[in-house]
Amino acid sequence: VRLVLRSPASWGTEPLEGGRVRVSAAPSVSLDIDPLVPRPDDLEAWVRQLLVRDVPPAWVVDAHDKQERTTEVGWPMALYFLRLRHEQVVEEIRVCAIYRLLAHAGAVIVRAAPAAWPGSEAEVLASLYSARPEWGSPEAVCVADLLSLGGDA
Amino acid sequence: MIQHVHGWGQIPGVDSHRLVHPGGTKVATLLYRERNRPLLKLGALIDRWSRHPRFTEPRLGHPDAFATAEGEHAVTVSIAGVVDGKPAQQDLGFVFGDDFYALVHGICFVEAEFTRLRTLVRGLVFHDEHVLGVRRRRYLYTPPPRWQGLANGFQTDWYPTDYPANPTSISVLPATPTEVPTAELFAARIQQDVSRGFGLESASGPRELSLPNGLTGLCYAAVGLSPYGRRFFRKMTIFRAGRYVYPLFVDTAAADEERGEIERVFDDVCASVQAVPQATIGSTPSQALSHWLG
Repeated sequence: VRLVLRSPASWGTEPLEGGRVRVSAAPSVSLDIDPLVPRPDDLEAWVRQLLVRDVPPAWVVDAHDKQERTTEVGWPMALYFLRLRHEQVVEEIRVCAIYRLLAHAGAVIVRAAPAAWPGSEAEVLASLYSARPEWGSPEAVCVADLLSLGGDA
Repeated sequence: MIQHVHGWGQIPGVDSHRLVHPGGTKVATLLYRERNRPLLKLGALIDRWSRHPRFTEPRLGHPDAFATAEGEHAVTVSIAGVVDGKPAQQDLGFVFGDDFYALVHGICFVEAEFTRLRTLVRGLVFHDEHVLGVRRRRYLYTPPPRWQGLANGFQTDWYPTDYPANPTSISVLPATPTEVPTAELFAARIQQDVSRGFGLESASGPRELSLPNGLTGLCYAAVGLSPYGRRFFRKMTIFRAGRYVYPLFVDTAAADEERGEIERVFDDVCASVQAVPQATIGSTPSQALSHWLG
């Protein structure tokens, strides 16, 4: 199971550890797409630790805005807009997109250098709104998956 | 547990049994593992178990799906290939439990024995005993094309690719042994929905259904408001065969003009339902411990 985002052909991807995928939208602008997880019982706690993932200890996270939205096909999503500061200087613009997908949850963390963000913001947000779950996995979900090769041979 | 194979050597393992052809390992070996997880799709299972360091040029045969003597779903498949420049053959057999599978894996390096090994693997699979008995079971049907399936235990829910913009789902519940009349099952299900805030507006049915494969059932429909005020249409089909009932339903809040196509997809799924296989061994005593008896 994974989250699929539509993106321009020019964006590059690289696998990260833990099943994550990093998409480079522009120099200094990247999207880390997490694998889908079973929806946490405490969704807020799960989101809180995502918002501060890999933040250097001396940095300060300013929550700038939170917006409840839906994706293009109607999945509920929350967008968290953050600024990461170090000694009063904004070092990173961070946008976390949290998707609620029935019994699963998905997350995309966008990181951008402040100077690079305005030029990429529209394309990145469009990509976040295009997200949809792909439930397919090697595991069988019905007897037909076990008895014939279908499309997975 | 597979039956004893006379003449073959047995090498017990920690979680498996290896059998050796009377002519030795250079002729053929068999591996049996009774409990394997996860329950992968057939293509992934074949890929998982057919890897062999010296087996090259694999040519996959057509999978043969059948029911074991106990009435469990099973598949065998042959893979022709080459080992050290000579023809070789792997035969894989899977018996599917509810959340596990048993494996029979044969590999043969002598062409004259290929047919015998294939027949032997099929026979071992057919007679493989798990004594799972009558229980809730998943059953065979054709999934709605291009919809995404999400399994939740024995139940699978199917969603169109444009869900939730298209607020539709098809739920296939497990075959369940019960004597409760179909009408009571439908009423109980609707009552459960009502207790969760579903505002029932109308219900209709039953309409009788009969499939070419002999399955018969009843079809009901209901319309009502969800707790969020959205009007949902539900169609529920419950087949009945032997001790089992086979419930399926579609829920949709799609516009009326789209509902016809959604109902057609659901009806196609219903029309493809096959009853769980029946055991064919009758009252024949288990052969599982026959190797103790010599």
